[in-house]
Amino acid sequence: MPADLGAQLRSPRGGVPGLRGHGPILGVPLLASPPVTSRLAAALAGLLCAPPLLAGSRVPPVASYRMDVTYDDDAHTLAGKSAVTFVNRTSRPFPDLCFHLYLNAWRNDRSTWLRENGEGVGRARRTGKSEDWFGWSEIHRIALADGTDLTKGLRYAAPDDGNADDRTVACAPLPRPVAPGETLAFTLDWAAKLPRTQARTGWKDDFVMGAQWFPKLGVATDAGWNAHQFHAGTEFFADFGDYDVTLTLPKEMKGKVGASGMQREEAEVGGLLKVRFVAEDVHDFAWTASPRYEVHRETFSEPGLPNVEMILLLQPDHRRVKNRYFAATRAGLKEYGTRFVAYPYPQVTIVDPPWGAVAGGMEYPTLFTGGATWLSPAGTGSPERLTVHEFGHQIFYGLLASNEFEEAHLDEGFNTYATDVAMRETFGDPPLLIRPFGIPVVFRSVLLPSPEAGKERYLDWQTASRSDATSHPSFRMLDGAAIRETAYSKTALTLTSAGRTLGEPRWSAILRTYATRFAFRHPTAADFRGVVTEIAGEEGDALFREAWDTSNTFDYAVGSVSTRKTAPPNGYLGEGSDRKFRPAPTEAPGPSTYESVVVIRRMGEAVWPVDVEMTFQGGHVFRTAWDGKDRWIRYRAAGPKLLSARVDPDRKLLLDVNVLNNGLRAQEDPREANRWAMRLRFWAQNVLEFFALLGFAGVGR
Amino acid sequence: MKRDRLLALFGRGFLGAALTWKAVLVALALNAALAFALVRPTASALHDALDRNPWADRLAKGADTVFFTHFTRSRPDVLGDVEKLQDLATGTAPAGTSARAKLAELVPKEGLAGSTVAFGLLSAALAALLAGGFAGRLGAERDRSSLAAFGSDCARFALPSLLLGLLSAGLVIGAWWWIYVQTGLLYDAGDFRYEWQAVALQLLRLLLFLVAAGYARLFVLYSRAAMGLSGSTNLAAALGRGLGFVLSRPARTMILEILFGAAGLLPLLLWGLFGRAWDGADRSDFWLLLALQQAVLLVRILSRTAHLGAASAWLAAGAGGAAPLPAKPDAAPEPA
Repeated sequence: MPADLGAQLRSPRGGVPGLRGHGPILGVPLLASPPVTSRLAAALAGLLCAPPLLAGSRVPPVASYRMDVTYDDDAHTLAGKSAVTFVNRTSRPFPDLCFHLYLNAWRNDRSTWLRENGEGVGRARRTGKSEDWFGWSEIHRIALADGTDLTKGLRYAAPDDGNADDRTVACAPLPRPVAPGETLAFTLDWAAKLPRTQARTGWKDDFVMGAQWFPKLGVATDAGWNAHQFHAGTEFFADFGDYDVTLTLPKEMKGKVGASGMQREEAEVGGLLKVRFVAEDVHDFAWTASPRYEVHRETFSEPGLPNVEMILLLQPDHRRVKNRYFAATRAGLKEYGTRFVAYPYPQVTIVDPPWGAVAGGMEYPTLFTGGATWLSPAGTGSPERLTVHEFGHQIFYGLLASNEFEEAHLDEGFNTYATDVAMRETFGDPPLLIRPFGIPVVFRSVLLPSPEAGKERYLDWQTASRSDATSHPSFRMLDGAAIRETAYSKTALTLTSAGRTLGEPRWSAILRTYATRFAFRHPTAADFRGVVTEIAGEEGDALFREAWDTSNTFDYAVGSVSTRKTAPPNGYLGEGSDRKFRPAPTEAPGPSTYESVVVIRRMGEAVWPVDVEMTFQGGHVFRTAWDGKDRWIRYRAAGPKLLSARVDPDRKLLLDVNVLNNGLRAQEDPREANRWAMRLRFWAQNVLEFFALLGFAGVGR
Repeated sequence: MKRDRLLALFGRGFLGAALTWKAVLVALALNAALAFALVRPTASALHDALDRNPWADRLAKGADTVFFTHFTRSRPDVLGDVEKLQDLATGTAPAGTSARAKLAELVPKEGLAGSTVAFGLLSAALAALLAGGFAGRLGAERDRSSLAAFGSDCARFALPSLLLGLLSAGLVIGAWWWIYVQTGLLYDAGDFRYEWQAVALQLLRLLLFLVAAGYARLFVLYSRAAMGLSGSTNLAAALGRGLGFVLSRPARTMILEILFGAAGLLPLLLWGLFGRAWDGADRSDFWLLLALQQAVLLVRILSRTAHLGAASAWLAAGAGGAAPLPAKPDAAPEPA
């Protein structure tokens, strides 16, 4: 087979991508252990001098697809022809081709995905057992460009759990291996059936979401194919390439189709609709269609960032939140663009799925699904937060295309952190919202502080389970809770804590360097920590060693505080002839000086540097830093009376599982507890009165 | 019956209830005592957590969800499974609920949440017991304000009144379980095309439950009133009379119930909107706020008692004679 003579040989995880478009990708040179300030200065200088990333071709393709697919709206089936070009940019030959057939996750209940979902690993709410709820994906023919038929050699594989019934990975041996640098072209004839929507793919009524819908190559690495089975708790991983996709759909979908990339053609042919999309430098392709979509367009424009056209596919019953969708997407484009890396594509599509479609909250290159409720009071963060988060995945997943099977925290956790920041900056903390019987009730005086709000389940998990370290491969963790809590909340809290501990200049430099250096690549946790070490040194990496390499618990506490008036010494004083006995004073000494003792404890196993603050009478505050390594440290002070002591007073360490022991007063003050007790008693009286109605058969609902 | 007669019954009900003010105060005192006992362990835990904790300064500025998150985690025994209570109260089907779910599985059993259910059922039982006394006094022609007579009626009607209370609780809980919860498990809300359709159906289920529960309570209320009027402990007769009365006046009895319900909830609503919290230290402020809070409860208890009074008056009028006028309080005995 012909070799790609001009191809630049490169591993997906190393080197600087070649250029095929406008503007270089910023790469900050790796410096050889100069002092921290020099490293930081170099990083900042590189950032300041770099032009912003622009839209256009960015990376030599590895796996490119040209597809012609027909969708049968009645049977919900797809019939497709794919012409695939695979460029081996690794340093090893590939003797076979391995594909993901994700839709086989719902082929039958013996699949790994359905088994794990039934065990609570996933979050998908699957309610049906009829045929509608099942799907499948099959390769009917695979042939090389010279006509060699590989179909007979196609075999299903289960590299993760050996489940012979799982058909989400299939491999076909090649007549001869694809050598490093070589290009292989082949075609696939395939068919698939979309299930009733689950895990954000499928159909509901006249809405269809085509995600993970076509046979897709695994990722070619120096270690071979990285092609995991589809697990209920993790997502996806694929190589960058170009997509040219023609969809044949019912003609009712005209003008109502969205997909990754840019629409190039749309025409009615033979009573059907043919629509063509082209997407460059992406690692996946998704599409959606519904005759009920209302299509809206606005342009994002911000100084220093490239313009982006925003296309919103909106449900008719969500018209009230149209502007909020756009405002949230703008916030994402701006905040992520200024803090991390600019969104490089000319267009982004926001999909508002219909009620009950279970297709909301998911990301695909240049397209993401949001999710709005029928009644969404303003200022409560819905749909804003989900929109910002799913847009954010365009950066953490779309550009920094980490392995979601193995290191789910690199996209979910980083993006959760970034969402917290963007939401706080743009919209502020939302108030508490509950929905009794589907009706929203907002408590505007109770704010949910970011980033702690919404992360309570992680702290519960850390206290009760802590089964896996974050660095453990995600798909191999104990259960769904472990995957979710380590990937999302723990990582987000770790990043926030690290940022607060290392300080804003260093932290901003770390994030921006990581994002710009690894855009259009497959970064790993080691890559991120390499950047941390480069800019913040061993001090910075130590934080992640504690938080990610172990599942140890963080818990710092003020063990004890005491303060007592200083008394003159009692006993023998002086030497020889000057020796005199001083009795204990019977009265308190005149001027008030105090001896105070504070003990700070490390109750958990994990270590994090913390601040200790002591407040004294007269408004004096003393603050000091402790490296947090020993099990305890004792402070003594002489002077004014000690009022209180606090460890981590600025809440830098958000991973601390118990903040109630982070402070102690020298003396009791029961006022606040009294206030809450009185409130509770009144609420209890009213609740008991409601119960009394059961027995009295009176009224007063 | 004309609208003005309904309003007249509404007024007479409160007038009658006011005459039993001593008994109403007893009911209030029992309610306060139960609430005090219910909350005591939690209050103690709050003192442990806050008295020497600088977090108290943050809480003083406003509700702090971070504090309560950590409090519930570090002391899971104190509040128990509050989420289950919240699910019950807001009509949310807990995760994993199936058609085979049992009611007992949905009810919290530990901490404050579990104690609330237990104390609540105790409150219902005590209310049923006292209801016999109220039925007796409101159905009587004299000594309505006598606490001794009230106590005597409580004892006389204890068993049938408790049975009526059990019937009322059973009917209401049954209505909740079968009309609201079980119907919710028959369909998947996600199958609807639009969310508002799912919400509308959920609200319809709630409305049906409220109507069913309302009529269940009316049935028991008028049965109790009938028992009080007749002075007899014949439960079957009382049930028959109560059922017949409600079935012959379904709309008007429901309207009256809604009126008394609104009257009972209004002060609570006003407190929710305008009430304030104690600062934890000022003693005079404490007594003022405590008095206002007890006034809210008093109106609620008075409303349910007034409904019973109105029911008694209506039943008595419906029996053919004019309803007995409320006896003058502290009437002097006639000379021999």
